[in-house]
Amino acid sequence: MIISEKKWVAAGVLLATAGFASGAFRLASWTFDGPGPGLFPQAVAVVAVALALVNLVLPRFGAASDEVDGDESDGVAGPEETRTALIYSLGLIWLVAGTFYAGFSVTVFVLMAGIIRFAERRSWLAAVIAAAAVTIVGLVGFGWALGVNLPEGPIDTTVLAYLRAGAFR
Amino acid sequence: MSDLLLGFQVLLSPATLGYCFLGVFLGTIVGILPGLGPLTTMALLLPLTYTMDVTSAIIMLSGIFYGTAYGGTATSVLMRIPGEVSTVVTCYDGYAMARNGRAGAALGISAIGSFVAATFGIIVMSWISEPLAMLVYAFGPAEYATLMLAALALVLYFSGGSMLKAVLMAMFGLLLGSVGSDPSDLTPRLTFGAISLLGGIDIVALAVGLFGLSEVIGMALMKPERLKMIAPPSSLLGFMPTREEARRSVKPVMRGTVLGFVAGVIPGGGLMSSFLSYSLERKLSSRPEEFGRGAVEGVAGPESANNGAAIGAFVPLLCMGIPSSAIMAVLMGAFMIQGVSPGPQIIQNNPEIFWGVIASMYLGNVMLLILNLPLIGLMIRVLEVPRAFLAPIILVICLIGVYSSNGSPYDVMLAVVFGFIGFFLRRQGFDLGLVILAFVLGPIMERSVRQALSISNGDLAIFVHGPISIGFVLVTVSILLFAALSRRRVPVEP
Repeated sequence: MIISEKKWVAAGVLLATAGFASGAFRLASWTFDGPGPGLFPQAVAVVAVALALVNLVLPRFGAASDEVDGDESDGVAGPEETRTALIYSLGLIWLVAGTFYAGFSVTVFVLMAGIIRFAERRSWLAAVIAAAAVTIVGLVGFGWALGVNLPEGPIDTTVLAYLRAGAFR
Repeated sequence: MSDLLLGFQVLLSPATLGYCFLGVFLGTIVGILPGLGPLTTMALLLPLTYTMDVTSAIIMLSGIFYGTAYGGTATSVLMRIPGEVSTVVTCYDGYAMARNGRAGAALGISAIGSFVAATFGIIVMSWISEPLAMLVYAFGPAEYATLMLAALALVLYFSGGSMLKAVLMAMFGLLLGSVGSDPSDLTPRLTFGAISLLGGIDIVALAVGLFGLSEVIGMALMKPERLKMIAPPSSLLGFMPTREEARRSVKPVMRGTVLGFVAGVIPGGGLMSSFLSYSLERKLSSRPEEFGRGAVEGVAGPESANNGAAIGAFVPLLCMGIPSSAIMAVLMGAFMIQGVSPGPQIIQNNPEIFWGVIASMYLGNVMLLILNLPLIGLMIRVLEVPRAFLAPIILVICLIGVYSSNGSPYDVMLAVVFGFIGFFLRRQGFDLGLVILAFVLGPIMERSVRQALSISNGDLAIFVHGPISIGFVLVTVSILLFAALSRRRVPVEP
């Protein structure tokens, strides 16, 4: 039996709300000086779990009579689009890992070049030029000129230190 | 009048004027780009407002919001692709007019109608804001809690798709809003042992994840097709309607203006203003058979209505401190980041902010008129940027926006998690705007509920004690009953 994406999502929503409910019911709902930290989340979580359960069991409940079923996944994307989306998803995972360990420049350069080359199938030259341009604009424009907080790796620290020291004046 | 002059005084500094222009310019671009909405853009730019003064920040973010109402029209008329939900109905008759060789007239009438509606809305808002704010001073915690409940019920009623999914998303948003240390006794709540969650979930990470990152994944699943476009007129004269078109547009513009403003003031009502106006015009028209084939009334009414609604949506936020939509919730987040609470206090304590924003709307609408008539041919070229470059650039902007808000890589991780969650929820027809709205409303509602229950020592009767709270409870119950009985819903936001 193949479980549809609709059911997986409904089950995921139920699981998430149940997790919140279990966390909420560990908190005190009433303390000596009035309503406790758990009162509001408990009330909300009870309703949320009930609704998530109904959504899993009776997904059409509460839907308009003229409403088209909301499962957009029915319009299945082709293998090429699925592959592109998978590479973008890998890019997002890299975004997190890079932010933790690699710093802004490496993360952005690899992300841009990787997506443009492998997901969008553009030439290496286009990918590298675009990646370098965005990395420089991001680091110099946002990190230095606008003073925006960026994840810093060795390259970023060095470049920003030079810029802040007025090396390019 | 002196207050408004104060607003213009604040606005007419070069930096504030620059931010006003930047806001409406970005709004027009975002309106033109299908898929990239004002909510995503405002969420992305929210961290950049940390270093700005509060008036400039709000003026820029507001400009993005009401600027999109203009920009979305161009793609609806020239390409039959709505840049925004509010311009979906313009596709019907605006595109038909363009195919009949009247693209310039459709764009011209839209821009003029939008300008009239926005100006009317701003004037009305200038007059009613102070008395409305005074009214809120009569509210205690119970009244405020029931008002929040009524507002949430209204938003749920007007949201698209299944009511069950809408309420579920609101509950999800309320739960996410509860994550972090308890505001009263700092007990960790729903953090599941993660120290990084003690400060709560950052609104930027949530908004960027649900709207920005999920949008990029969705974009990647689509075939990158070349867009077909009807060319806009090259001269200003080409935008002029004929005498007959102008005559037929006057009444729809007037009706759309009033209807849009009123719908915008009602929480959740803004989304449906253009649909309501279109239905009204078709019903009142002596030539209903022309609708869908290039009826000028089908462009003039809805376009005025969506711009009136964009201005009307500011009334509950600025005068009562209640965000009436997800976009207003992000704007409220911008106020809170700057340590300013929108609502009645802002008019008394920070009049320069309140009147500066109002004054910026007057000037912003003039800027939009210029941007959207002679320069629309130039602006629309933004659509020629291929997805291959646009999508990864959006990812980088998301990274900068999320990381810079707290300097925490955990926020980037949260945003990516919300990006995947948002992608799957959106595919199943869940309205993600409700998550943001409930996320912002939740802590305010919880505070009011807890204060009221502390006063009454746990007696729930406090919520039906005074006439104001009884009124709001009745409104909430009526809406929920009406929603249960009526099965027709407005279209869901894509």
